[in-house]
Amino acid sequence: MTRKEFLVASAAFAVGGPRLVAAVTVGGRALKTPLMLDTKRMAIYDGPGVRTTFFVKGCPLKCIWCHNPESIQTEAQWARFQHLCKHCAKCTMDEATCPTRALKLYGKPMTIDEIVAKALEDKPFYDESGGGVTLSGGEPLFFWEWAAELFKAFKAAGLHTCLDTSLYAPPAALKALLPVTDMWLPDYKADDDALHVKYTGVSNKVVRKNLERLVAAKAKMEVRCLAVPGCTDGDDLAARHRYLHSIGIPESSIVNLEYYDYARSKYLALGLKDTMPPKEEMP
Amino acid sequence: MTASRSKQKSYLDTTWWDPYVADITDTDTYLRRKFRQDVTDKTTGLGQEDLAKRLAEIAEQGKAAGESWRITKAKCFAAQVREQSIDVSPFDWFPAIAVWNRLSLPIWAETKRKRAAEVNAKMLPEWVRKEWGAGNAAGDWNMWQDFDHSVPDWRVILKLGFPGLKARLAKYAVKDDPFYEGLAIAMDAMLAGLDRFIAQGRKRERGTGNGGRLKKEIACLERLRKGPPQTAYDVMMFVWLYFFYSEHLDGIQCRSLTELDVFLTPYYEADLAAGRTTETEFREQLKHFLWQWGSVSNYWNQPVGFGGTNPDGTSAFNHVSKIILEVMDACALTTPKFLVKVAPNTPDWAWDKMLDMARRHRSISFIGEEPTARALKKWSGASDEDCRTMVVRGCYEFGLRDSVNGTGVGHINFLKPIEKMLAECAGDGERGTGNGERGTRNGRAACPQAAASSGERRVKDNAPYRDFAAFKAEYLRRLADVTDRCRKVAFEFEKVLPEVNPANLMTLSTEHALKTRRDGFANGCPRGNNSSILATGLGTAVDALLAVKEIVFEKREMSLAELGKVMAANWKGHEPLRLRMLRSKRKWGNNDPEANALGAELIDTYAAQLNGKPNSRGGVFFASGHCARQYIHLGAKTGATPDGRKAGEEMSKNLSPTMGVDTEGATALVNTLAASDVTKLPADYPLDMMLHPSVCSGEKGLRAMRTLVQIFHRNGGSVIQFTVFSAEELKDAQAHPEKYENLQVRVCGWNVRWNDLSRTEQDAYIRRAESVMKGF
Repeated sequence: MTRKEFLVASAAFAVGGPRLVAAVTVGGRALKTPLMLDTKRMAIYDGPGVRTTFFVKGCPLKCIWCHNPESIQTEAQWARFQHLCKHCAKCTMDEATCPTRALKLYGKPMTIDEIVAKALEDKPFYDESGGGVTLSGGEPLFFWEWAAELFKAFKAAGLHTCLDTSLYAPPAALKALLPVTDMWLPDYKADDDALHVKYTGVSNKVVRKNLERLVAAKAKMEVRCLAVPGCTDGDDLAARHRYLHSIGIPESSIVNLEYYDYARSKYLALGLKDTMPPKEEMP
Repeated sequence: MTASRSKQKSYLDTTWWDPYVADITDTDTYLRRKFRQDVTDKTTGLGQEDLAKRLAEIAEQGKAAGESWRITKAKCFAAQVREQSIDVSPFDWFPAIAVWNRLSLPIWAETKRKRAAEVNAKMLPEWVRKEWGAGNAAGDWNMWQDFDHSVPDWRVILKLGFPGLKARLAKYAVKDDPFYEGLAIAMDAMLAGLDRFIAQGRKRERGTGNGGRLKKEIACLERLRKGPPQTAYDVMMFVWLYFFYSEHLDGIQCRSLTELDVFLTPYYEADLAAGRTTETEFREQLKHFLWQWGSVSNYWNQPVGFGGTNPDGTSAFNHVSKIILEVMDACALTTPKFLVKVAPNTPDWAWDKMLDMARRHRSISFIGEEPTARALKKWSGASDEDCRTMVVRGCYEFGLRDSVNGTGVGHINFLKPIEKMLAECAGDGERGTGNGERGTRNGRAACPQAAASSGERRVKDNAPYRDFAAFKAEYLRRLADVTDRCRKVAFEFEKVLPEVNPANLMTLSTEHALKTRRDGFANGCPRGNNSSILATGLGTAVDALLAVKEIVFEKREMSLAELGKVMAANWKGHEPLRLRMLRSKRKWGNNDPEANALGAELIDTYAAQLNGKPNSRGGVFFASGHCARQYIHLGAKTGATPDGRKAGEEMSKNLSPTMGVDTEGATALVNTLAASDVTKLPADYPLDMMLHPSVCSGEKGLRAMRTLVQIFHRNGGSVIQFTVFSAEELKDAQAHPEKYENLQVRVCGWNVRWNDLSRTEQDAYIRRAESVMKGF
């Protein structure tokens, strides 16, 4: 299968592949429900203790440095990792039988019950370590009504909840999630709105407003600030800290994240343009 | 990397990369080379090869004179102690002996080879020899007479010292009884050996003018000549002497070096109070002590007990534990390995230090006091105090301190019955058995359908197994049968252990043996000498059974006969199916409820044939969950299996999953092991866990590792050990071995240098590492 044929097949799959078959309904209305991208057990950097992190597929932002490019599109996607593919001409679009594991399908439906059941498998580890579950993405608040239902189910199961989010979401999303979220892990990607628009495709005004709402609600949070070389490092990083302090977020609740450009093979595998800035500072 | 891999003599040779040094002029080189070449003073006696000839002469003379073998063997021991070349070097706190090469110990030639052949031919019933050999040849099991899992009761013998051991022997000895006569010969030789070391030390002291370390070493040897150990250094010296006397010269392994911190603490504190030593000197002595086994470099890693709980219920970890851990950390040796006893009372600093060392590849395993206590209470009637003084006696094995002269006599191949059943269904009874017998053992006919079908597709006709329940029932019946037969063979061949290799030293150190005139190793422990039979390939067997279920009984893709033919062809022409089965998530290790339940059934079936059943040595059989290197050896003797494994490939090791199939991560793996517990496998219930560095870095990583250990123990697991590597690191190590001279990885109960692994083993390890971080 040529690269072109693969991309055609992949696009066709995105149209005819798994849909949001497990849509949750509330009051007879189907909620916007994501496909799930991945489940990471024993996650130790997505909140306190040992956690299970669930990744949703779909994000309204287009961050040029996104290290999970497979999480942007809401539809299922095939990826073919070029460095593994032997071009054996027997490509069946079946990741289970690909001889070199070059094929990967991103996006699989999971019901809320399935997600909670999966999370509960590791409950003893959460209890021992003070951990729990984290919802990440993609952007979980892109599916905020569904996320709220999921978190209600998590809380009913006695699980500590963390939400890893860009905070690019309507006020209703926060209102729905605040009562069921034990800890927020918001990003603050750029303080300069022009930079924010340039590098993520959206304004930071919504994000700032939501950060202030979380502070007002006394939500427990850890704000993540990624410093992308040549884009959002230097002055902007300092400005972000200043802004966060100004709205009442202490330094102890801010974490600077180091940037890595390790996701290039995924862009290539998905047939996407690699937009990741290099790890080294641009000239 | 200076040496070529072709210089490696065998997988047992773990020092092939370390070249001979003609002129040793510094301490570090001396310590490293001490048991990798002869460093003794050649003017003092015979070298190892000449000693082998000398022992052969003694054995011949003894036989010609009609002498008791126990006496002859004692003379062999004495000849080595009295006639071998020795040294007391200013570079080292411990003496040197001629018998340095563990791969060709002179005593093994006389006992394990010549004597064993004679005794077994003469004393074992023909059916035992036939069954034993046939099972080994076919790969049903691998069995041998084991002399490897014994530990003296250090608490008692350290109080006695060598003169005390002699006095105790005199108390029980009966005149003109060859049993006691042999013991007296060995005992006198040990004391004579001390005299020789003292004399050589004095000679060296005069020659070198080194008045410091040598003076103290001579004084230590003199104290031990007169009485029990008085100082921490004396304790280390006593352990050194007993170990090398027993393991290198008497041919009986000494599988623990005490619970090191527990035993050294009172002596060290007294030394400090009396001004006899300093912390600096103690650290140096510890370094030299650990390096003795670092130099020996046995592939199974010499176990050292550590930590735990005091008899009064308080934690045994203390400031001496801290010093020892720091010294061990700095030495960065693959061996000895610390089997650390942990409990809810283990202090945070100890957890942090030990887990940090484990993630930096130090040789540390964590044994849970609470689960092991449950097993000891259930099967040995142990008290709380007995449990607190529990002793390690092998890679993962543990036992009561007065009954730890155990053996590991057989390794059962859990995959073989599946291979045979499918071969029979395919009409090829020969292939599955591998030893020339038809697949009709125990009166069962080979699958009649297979012979008749000859390629005909009969997806609905899988007679004689109408459904998976019937297939599984037959598998379990065969597993029980092979385990039972293994136990019966072991029962018989262990009767002659004292005739093959009478354990004079282990008898001298076991009062009950002296009192009852029994061999200390074979049958002289006060609570009996137990025997373990080990499980090999449990995880792969679970995977293979579930694959049969899916292919034949659920999806009905082919009949059992057809699947048997696919196995016979080693999957040729069915690669997509093989890959699908290999990558299925329905595997042992992924916390799949069905796999967990099936694994528990296999363990129950196997354990029911062993636990508590009497052996021929006054003890009982125990089922064990580990398999040493047999997952490779028996894998090589096993055909393709439906889980996607190809013929000859290794199977799962210990209770771990098949390499690379556990894609659900560490927590799922720990949850899987909760399917059973150490009370079912009371010899040990171990878990090898590979972690990616990203999940155990920093403070959060330490906490996560501790959580894994604590939950594994809470679920009833006994020992857990970690390997922390990314596939990228391992690939780099494979490409640039010179950069990774000291890189250690966990193999099976022990660490091994990365560069000692074959390319195939390295590749398998990298595949394993690649699977560690896979999500769904």
